[in-house]
Formats: sequence, structure tokens, C-alpha cells
Amino acid sequence: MNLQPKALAFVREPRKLIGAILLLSAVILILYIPVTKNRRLMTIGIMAFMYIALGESWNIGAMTGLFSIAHSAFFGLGVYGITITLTRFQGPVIAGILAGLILNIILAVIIGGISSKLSGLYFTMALIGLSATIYSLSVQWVSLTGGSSGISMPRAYLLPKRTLYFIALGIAVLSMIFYVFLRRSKAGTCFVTTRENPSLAAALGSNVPFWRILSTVLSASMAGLCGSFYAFHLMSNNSEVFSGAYSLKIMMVSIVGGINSVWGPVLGCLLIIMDEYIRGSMPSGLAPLSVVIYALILILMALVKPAGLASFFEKPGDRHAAKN
Amino acid sequence: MLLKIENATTRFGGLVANDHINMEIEKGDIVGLIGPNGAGKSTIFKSIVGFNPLSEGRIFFKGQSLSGKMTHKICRLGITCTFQHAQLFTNISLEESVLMGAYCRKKTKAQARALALEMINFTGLAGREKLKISGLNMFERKKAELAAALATGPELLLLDELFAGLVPTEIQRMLDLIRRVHGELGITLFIVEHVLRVIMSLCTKIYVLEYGHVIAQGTPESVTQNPLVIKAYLGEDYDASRDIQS
Ligand SMILES: Nc1ncnc2c1ncn2[C@@H]1O[C@H](COP(=O)(O)OP(=O)(O)O)[C@@H](O)[C@H]1O
Ligand SMILES: [Mg+2]
Repeated sequence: MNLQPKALAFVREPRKLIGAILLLSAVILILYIPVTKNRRLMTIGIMAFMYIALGESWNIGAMTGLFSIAHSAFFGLGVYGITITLTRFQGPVIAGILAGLILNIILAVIIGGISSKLSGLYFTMALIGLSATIYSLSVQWVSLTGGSSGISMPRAYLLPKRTLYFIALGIAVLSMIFYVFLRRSKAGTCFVTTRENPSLAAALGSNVPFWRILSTVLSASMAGLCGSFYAFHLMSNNSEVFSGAYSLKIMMVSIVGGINSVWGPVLGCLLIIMDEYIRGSMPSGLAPLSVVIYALILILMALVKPAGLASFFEKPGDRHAAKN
Repeated sequence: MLLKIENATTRFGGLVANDHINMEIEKGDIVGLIGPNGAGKSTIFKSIVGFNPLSEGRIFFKGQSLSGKMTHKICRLGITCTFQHAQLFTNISLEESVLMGAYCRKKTKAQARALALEMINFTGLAGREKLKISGLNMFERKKAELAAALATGPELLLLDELFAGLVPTEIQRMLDLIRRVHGELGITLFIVEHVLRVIMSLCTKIYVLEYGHVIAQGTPESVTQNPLVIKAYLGEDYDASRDIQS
């Protein structure tokens, strides 16, 4: 069979056609929501966009094989960095964002360093320990963090929903562009080879510990920036942001969507949309149950489609290709 | 002298895998290393490229001591290796695997990619660039590993049983390829091999290891006539003349 290459490409690759149609509908929907002025839809949009960015951030860690089960630590530091700077020190927004970033970079260097020394179970335990420490600090250090009742942003920083919506959209798109840029760069190659086989990568001249730390720093910084944004959305912030529920949701978005694909978190955020809808219409007493549902979804997905939703749109053998 | 190994000793607990080994490699040599399984051949290779630190002794590359240097630094200096049990980046493409090696000397992606494609062509893998390593057959995987090592621009290349698991026609093709690596790319080679035809026909100098000791060294002719080597490794009915000529 000799089909015309360009014109009939879609016929030969229906996956691409379906993908293109879905993407177009999504763009139309994303632009239409702010027109409706529906606050509930905009809130769901904001959450979905933020989780896309968090998912891309998680994926960047996963490139070197960092399986961050405590991603909310980075996220929460971003939230607290900005909230504390604005309320306790009356600093400018940029200082708040930087505070979160610096805290995250310090934490990431520690975690990246540990990941070169410890492996598997021990690394996971170290990660849980670190994040539990941060959570305890946020609860115990009342004078700084407001303890378990949390700390609220000054009212002056209350932004219109629509502004938040577009900022969140911008963060999501930028994070996707950054992921693709990174994956195709030298760093991306050094990251994935570290995940695939660190000994071979080192023999081929790659400074494996350095790339491990860099990927953790980038991943943490992105999650922290999302946190800084989230502080403006939530306004009354508390130590919940460090909780396992956030980590679980971030992992769910990344894993269900598909690790190692820029589209993974985009598809994975459908779960966030679902979650927001259901929780909005569920009695609040049942909220803790949602964690059980996330865990079940993760297990189910691991069994049925381990490569994630994004793999539906790829030809077999397409994954990880070094494109130019 | 390109590489000088002085009294290299490696202990794993009570086991002495390398016992005061001395070796010398000149630029342009093809040096062979043979010996029974467990003699400590892979161990000395791993010590050279910085995977396991020496318990005693020192290794010099172009007069510079390698002790305490990390593997990627040693690669930068000009030594790399292929592993005994083919090490692979299973889930990434051939092109990106070789690209990893090319980044050792090339700064930009365009330059690195050009070098990577050159090495893919050199090893006869042209047309397979976009395939994942897991989609290649055994012979292709070995060539992929070689291509990635060559892309790092080594002066000294260590090959640990590169020919193991290949059928005779593939051995011949690999042999031709290795001759070109030496002749056209001017790379000094240090080879561990059980396929004696490879060692005898390629090497200018051979070291024989047994229980961590060097029991013999010299030209293929002298080593194959050494009674110690015949007893420890070659066996009484080994006929060297066949292998040396091929
Ligand atoms: N990392 C290690 N830990 C403990 N023992 C090892 C290690 N690596 C090799 N050995 C032991 O050292 C000896 C030499 O091994 P090796 O150098 O792989 O032999 P060869 O490559 O000559 O077959 C063997 O007895 C092996 O079991
Ligand atoms: Mg060996």
C-alpha cells in the first residue's frame, strides 16, 4: 500500500487524530470557562492547571529515577515561604517567592545528595522522615507558622478569580514547555541515562551525582513555585499543604497520566477535575475517603495500564525517543 | 607510557581479587588479558575506571595518578570501558545512548549529535538510530555499547568480554570492527577475552592472570608456550598457530 504521506497521515495514525481533536476541544473549553464567569468552574480549572505543573515537576524528578513520594514538602515550603514573608515580614511578593525557592533548593540538595548515597527503601524512608520533620515544624513553630490553625495571607493580596485562572494557565503551559525543553537538552539525556543505568552513564563521562541533584533541585523549585501561587488561591494557608494527600494527588496525576511524557500530567489532571467535582458535591465528612479512592486508582492503573493514559496516544516504541 | 599499574591490590573482605599486579600499556598497543573465570580480570578493569578503589597500589594514566578520581573524571581524561555483562540504557533510543557518550567532549547538542551519528555509522548501525536499545539484537547491542564508548573520544578503551555470546560470523565482523577502532581511530586497546582467536590475532602483548596474580606476560607466541599458562588456562591440546594467523 502506498498512501500519500502528508494528507493521509491522520488516516494511518488515528491516535494522532483523536489526540488533536481532544486538544482542540480542551483549548476551546479552557478559553470559554473565564467567559462564563462561573467561579466554581474557574476554581476547578485553577486546580487542574496547578496539578499539571506539579505533575511536570514530579516528572522531572522521575527522569533521573527520583520517585518522590513526599512532593508536598516542596509544595508546602513554597506556600509557607511566601505567606510568612508577606505576613510576618511585610516583604514584597518576589521576596516571598524567592524565600520558598531557597528553602526548596536547600531541601532538594539534601535529598539529591541522599539519593546518591542511599537507595530504594532507605531513600524512601529518609524522604518520609524529612517531610515529617517539615510538617512537625510547621505545626510546632507557632510564632512563625501560626501552628495548626495556619497563617493567612494579607487581604490586600486577594486576586480576582479570573486573574488567578490565567496565572495558573500560564504556569501550566510554561511547565510543559520547560519539561520538553529539558528532556531534549543535554541535561535531559544525562537525567534519563542516570535513571536507566548510572554505572554506564558514569563510564560514558556523566557526573551522575550532579545530575541527580540538579533534577531534584529543578523538580523541587517548580513544585515550590506552584506552592507560592497556591498561597494566593487558598489565602488561609495551613499545614495541610504538607500532607500526604497532596503528595498522593501529585503522584496520581503523574503516574495515571503517564511518567516520562509531557502529556501525562495533562491527562492525569482529569482525575483532579473529577475529584474537585465530587468533593464539591459530597458532604465534607466524607472528604478523608478521597485518599482511599486515589490509592485505589493508583493500584488499578498500575495493574491495567502501567505506562499511563498518555501511552494510548503513542505508537509502541515511541516513548523516550530523542527528538530534535 | 599510557597506562602504568603499580602493585594494584583489591581485597573483597578476605578474598584477594587482585594481588600486587603490575602492568604497562604503551600508546598504540593492543594488550590482552586472559585467565580462568574469577581470576580478577574484571576487577582490575573496574579499578582502572574508578568503580572499585584499590586497597593498595596505584594506577597512572599518562603519568597522572588515578587514585580517588571518579569514573566520569577518568572518562574525561580518556579512558572508558565496555562491561562484561552488557550494560544498557534499555528504554532509550540508540541515538540518545550514543549521544550520552558524545556529550563527554562536545558542548552543544548539534555537535554531540553529529559525533553520535558518526559513531553509529562507524559501528555499522546506521538506520537503527531511533530504535530503543531493547529493540536491538545481541550483536547490535554490543555494537551500540561500543559506539557509545567510542563517542566519548577515548585514548584507551577497555573491552571486557565484548565477544562473549557472539556466533562465529559475528565474531569475525566484530574483529574487523575492533581492528578499525585501533587503526582508523588510533585508540589503544586493553582487552579481556575468552575467545582466544580474538586475543591471539589482535594483541601485541598478553598478560595472564590466575587467582589475582600475573602468572605470565609477553607476546602471544611466548605466552602460549609457557607451561604455567598451559596448565592454568589453555589446556594441553591448545594449538596457538591456528588462532594467531586468523
Ligand atoms: N564487588 C565484589 N564483591 C565481592 N567479591 C567480588 C566482587 N567483584 C568480584 N569479586 C570476586 O573477585 C574475584 C574476581 O572476580 P572478577 O574480577 O570478576 O573475575 P574475572 O573477571 O577474571 O572472571 C571473584 O572471586 C569474584 O567473586
Ligand atoms: Mg570478568
